[in-house]
Amino acid sequence: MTAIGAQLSGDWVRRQPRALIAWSLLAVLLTIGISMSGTFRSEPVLVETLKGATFVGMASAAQFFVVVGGGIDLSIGSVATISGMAGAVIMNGQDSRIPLALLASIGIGVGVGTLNGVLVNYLRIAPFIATFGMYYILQGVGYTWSVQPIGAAAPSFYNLYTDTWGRIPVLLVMVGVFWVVCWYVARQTAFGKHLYAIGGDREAARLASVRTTRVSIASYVVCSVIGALAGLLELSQTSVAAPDLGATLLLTTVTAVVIGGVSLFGGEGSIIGVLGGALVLVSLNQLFDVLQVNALYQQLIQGLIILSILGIYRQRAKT
Amino acid sequence: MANLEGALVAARGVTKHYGGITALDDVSLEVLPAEIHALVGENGAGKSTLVKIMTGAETADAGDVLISGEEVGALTPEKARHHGVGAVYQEPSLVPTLTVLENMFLGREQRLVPGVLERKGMKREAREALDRVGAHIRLGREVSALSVAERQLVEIARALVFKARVLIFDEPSAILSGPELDRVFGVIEELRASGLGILYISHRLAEIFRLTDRATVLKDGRVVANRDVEGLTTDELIRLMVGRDIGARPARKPPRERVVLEARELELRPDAEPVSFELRAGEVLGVAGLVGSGRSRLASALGGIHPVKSGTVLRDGRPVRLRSPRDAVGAGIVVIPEDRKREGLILAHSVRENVGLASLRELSRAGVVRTADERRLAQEATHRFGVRPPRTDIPARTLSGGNQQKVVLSKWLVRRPPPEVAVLDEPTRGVDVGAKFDIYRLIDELVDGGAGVLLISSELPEVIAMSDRILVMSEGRIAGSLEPHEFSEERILRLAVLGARTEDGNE
Repeated sequence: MTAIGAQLSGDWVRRQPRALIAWSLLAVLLTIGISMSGTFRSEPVLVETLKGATFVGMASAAQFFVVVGGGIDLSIGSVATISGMAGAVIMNGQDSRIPLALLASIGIGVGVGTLNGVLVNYLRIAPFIATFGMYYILQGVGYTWSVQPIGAAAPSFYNLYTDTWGRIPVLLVMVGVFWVVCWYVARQTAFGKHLYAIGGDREAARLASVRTTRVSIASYVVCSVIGALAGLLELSQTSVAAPDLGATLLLTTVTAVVIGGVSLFGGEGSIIGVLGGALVLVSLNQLFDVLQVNALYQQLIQGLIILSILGIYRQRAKT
Repeated sequence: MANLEGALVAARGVTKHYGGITALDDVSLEVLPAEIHALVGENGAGKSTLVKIMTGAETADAGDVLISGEEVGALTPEKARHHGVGAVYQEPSLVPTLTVLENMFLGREQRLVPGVLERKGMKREAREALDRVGAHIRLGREVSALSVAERQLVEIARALVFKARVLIFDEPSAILSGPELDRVFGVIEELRASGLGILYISHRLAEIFRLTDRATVLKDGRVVANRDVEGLTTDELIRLMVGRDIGARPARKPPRERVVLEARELELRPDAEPVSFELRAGEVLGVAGLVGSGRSRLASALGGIHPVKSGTVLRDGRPVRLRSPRDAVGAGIVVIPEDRKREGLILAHSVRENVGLASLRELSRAGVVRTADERRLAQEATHRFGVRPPRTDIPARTLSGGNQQKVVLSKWLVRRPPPEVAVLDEPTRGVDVGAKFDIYRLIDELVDGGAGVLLISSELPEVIAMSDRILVMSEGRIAGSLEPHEFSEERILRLAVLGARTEDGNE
């Protein structure tokens, strides 16, 4: 029993180091923030940071599922946008229409994800190109629909952002459950293992009788559905939906996934690392705000961080 | 042909085309219980294609696969495994980023309820299977951390977990060395003893005679023989595989006086004596020695791949600078390195483009490549080397390994003007018997045309048969130089291992 325990922990440690780097970076950022600014330390700011990470975090987890399976989804931001716009218009400020909005959101996710999966697997279009094309199409749909913010979130949906159970924000509990489910699916289910397998070596997985096409398409569907739900959830913060709702997600999700130690070639990485990567991005922004860093330097610093992290991973890969 | 009823797995009249090429033509083969059945043939004869069809990785255009005498319809990898047909591929088909346990049950995970995996049982079964093949590997280890032999054993164990009754081995020996191979052979023999049927693919004749009971010989996609191995001779088997007698090569003219290449005090290693030698026109200078003795270092130095710190190389008596591969080619020195697949081919490009790449200057006018000339050159190359299929417009990736090697060799050797100095590092490693003799013939042609050839090889019979003189290297220096009357495997080995100089006469 202890042997199996040791084996499992050995396995665990071997797989985590890349994730640890993201979390160490997070620790460094928090330390800097706390030592340089008093406001950073306060509970409200911390909670706001975590809440702010909901949207980017969910979308990054979505991106993780595609990337670990050897693909990439550049359309995720525009899926969030369309889903948010549809949700806001459907809800139109009425609680009774929340289920309908949810259904529409999931429908949009399934539709776009399936389409992406089919483009990549059946038409053999490179994921980068296929999903980038999808991004343009959906972006076009969004701006044709409305250039102005439209719709309105239902009140109880809008309140999600501020609601608490005792002292615990409801939103954070939901997001916590979300991450645990993602971790379980990625690590503990056959689907998760098949996903890692097709990302690691698709032909080997096929020969081992994994239904590679089906798994790959499923990864795009999972990604788009999560992205769509993230877009809907974003309404809890903005209430109205503008056609640039998910504009930032294209780069941030890929960045979070990379900082979290997921290999862009697929097959490697963990959901825990992605959570760390997303938190790094959000706290970095928070830190920039608190320290009032010039917006021009912000990009410079982000770029340097990404490159140095990749440098560290490269070194690790060699040893 | 034996009875199909008793066979564990059988192919019946299988035909497969790729594009316009017929890879398999009406092939039948059956594997019986408790037999090791050899499938042999030259590179590109269709062995791998047949295996892929029998394991469901590819579908046949005509004919079918019977399992335990029954038709199973369209075969998929999953179905094949379900019916007890397992395969161990040449390049292990494990996912490197997953653990041993995950790989063993990949695609066949056991679930308690949907979404929850049954770990205990999977671990126990995996452990049992690994014990059966004598592999003491932790289940939680990532496959990328395993040695090649361990991966093979994991693959075999994986097949056993699925209660395989037939195991297909696709050239396991191509990537294993001595002791590892013995271990795998031992496991295969034990599996036969327990009643499994084994289909063993190889073109190494020694293994066929050592391990197998019956042999099916494929040639150009057709079965040319199905014989008991007992009573079969090596010569017969070669004749069946190649379809012709590989007789004596015509004698070469003796080397000329002109020295085409002279190495003076080349420092291959800081701790070893520098290396000096002469290569004359029309001479094959063999270079023997153990792996790591400096043979390949010498080749990379002459090719400008890893320039030397000190020493001079003279071409036709004039000193030349060899700081880059381009320098070497400019000096008329062609070096074909050992790792041809990595260093020699652009797999996505066509055979024509690969052959033409080395001759672009000669093939182009005002910077524009004349495709017709390129095609002509490539056709000549494929023809002279017997590349199969003999087509120049298909991607190099689609050729079998041995044929890819022929393309790399040909791309340098058909250059105009032909190279005056050729350094060939293990030119026949991994190619089949027929191709080997094609390569020997080409070396003969080169030296008859006045080129000097440095032939680096680990196969002593090859060095002895081909060389006019042999340099033996040991620990980075030249341990001795042998003249034809001194050639013997024992002498070469003694020099290679002991590093002693020959008794007298040389240097």
